[in-house]
Amino acid sequence: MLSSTARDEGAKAAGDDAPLLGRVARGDGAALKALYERHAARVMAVALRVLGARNEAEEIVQECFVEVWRRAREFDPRRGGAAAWITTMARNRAIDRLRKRGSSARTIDAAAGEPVAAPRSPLEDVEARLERERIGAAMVQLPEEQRRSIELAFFEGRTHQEIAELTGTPLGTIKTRVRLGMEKLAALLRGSRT
Amino acid sequence: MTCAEFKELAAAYALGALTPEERAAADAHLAGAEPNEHAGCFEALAEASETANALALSLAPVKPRADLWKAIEAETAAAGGAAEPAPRRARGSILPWLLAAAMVLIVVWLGFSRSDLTSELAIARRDATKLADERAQCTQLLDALRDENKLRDQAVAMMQAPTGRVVAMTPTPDAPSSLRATAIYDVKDQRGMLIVAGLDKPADKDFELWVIKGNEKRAAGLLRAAPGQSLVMAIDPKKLADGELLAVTLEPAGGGEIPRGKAVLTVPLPKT
Repeated sequence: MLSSTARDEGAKAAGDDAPLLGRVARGDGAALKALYERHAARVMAVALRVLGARNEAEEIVQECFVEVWRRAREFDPRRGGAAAWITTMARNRAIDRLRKRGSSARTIDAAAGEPVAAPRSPLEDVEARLERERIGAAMVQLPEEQRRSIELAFFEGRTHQEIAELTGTPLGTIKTRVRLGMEKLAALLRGSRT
Repeated sequence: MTCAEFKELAAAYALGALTPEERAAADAHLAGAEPNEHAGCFEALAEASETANALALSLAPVKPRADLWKAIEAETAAAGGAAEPAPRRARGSILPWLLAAAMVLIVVWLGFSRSDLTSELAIARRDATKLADERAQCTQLLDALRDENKLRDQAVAMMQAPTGRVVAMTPTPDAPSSLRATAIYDVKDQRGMLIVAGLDKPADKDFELWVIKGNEKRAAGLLRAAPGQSLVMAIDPKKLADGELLAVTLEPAGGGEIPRGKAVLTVPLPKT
């Protein structure tokens, strides 16, 4: 399974973020701001990828950090790192909004696009860019159908069942694709770090 | 749901690919036993969550609008103590501790002579002064960072404008190997910004920017940054007006109005 890579990254992030979340839970606004400065651009990227509209994505960023403020005490490090917790919160809110828009706005083609074809920003921190490129390189090594299933789930909020219907593939096959794809992605990330 | 079944679904759980019913069953499984009674369920979920987070990290970060934080701050301030404080201990259990603490304080107080107290006070005053100095330094640093962020936002906005052009400055053979600079120039407004990295220089020198038009060489400011830091600066629009070329030279410390040192970077300003 994923283990060392994710754990290393998780430990690194948790090492910085978990104490900040603890302070947020005690009502420390400066700690929330520190988390915002660290993660807002990433949260915005996820919301924008899901919703495709900048103004809506910014609303999600706002809602997400207000939710972090309200629910910091519920953070459970056994379930993953703080960054993953915040990302999931933003992703779930964006998916909820996408669902409210109705199915017409959700197209399978949108998720089939390249996930890593975002423009480079010269101002992006070099380390973050290298990390993004490393993950992008791992993503493109996944078998196409596994990558597509994972993206349909994460960026479009599709369930196993919905992905099976959309792609005309048996449900059991989709479940296997998602599980194997995630395991392979974890292994690729682990491999690319060494 | 068994632990083995949960672990089969952990990846889908982290990706949000479960139906509400499956998710409820998974949550019930996690809540249904003590963590040490699970056969690796939390570990599998933590690992899957970090992999799902990698999907987010594969996206290029996108800065939200600059004033969004203020909106969040206002909302959280209005929510007050939404992040609930830790539950208070029952008064009955804390009172004996308070009494004990008070007794200790009285004993300590009696143990101090007046001179001890005076020296303690002097130390406390000195510490307070030191803290105030550190606070002032911190405020200065934060102000500088705020200014720098404002400049970065300006640079990004200029790059994204339809008339914004981005050009890398070309190093001359005399340039230090680490020196890199990119100019952002709005061809319509004739405004420009410069991003420079690797400003390593001898102590008795300074990098200086010039806007050149024909034989006219306009001094446009010294390029200074803390060691290892990059510099983002807005170029004076008056200096830029109708300029044809940007150049950076290495000048004696403090620079001057006429270039005397060797050029290290150059780039023509785009016209269209």
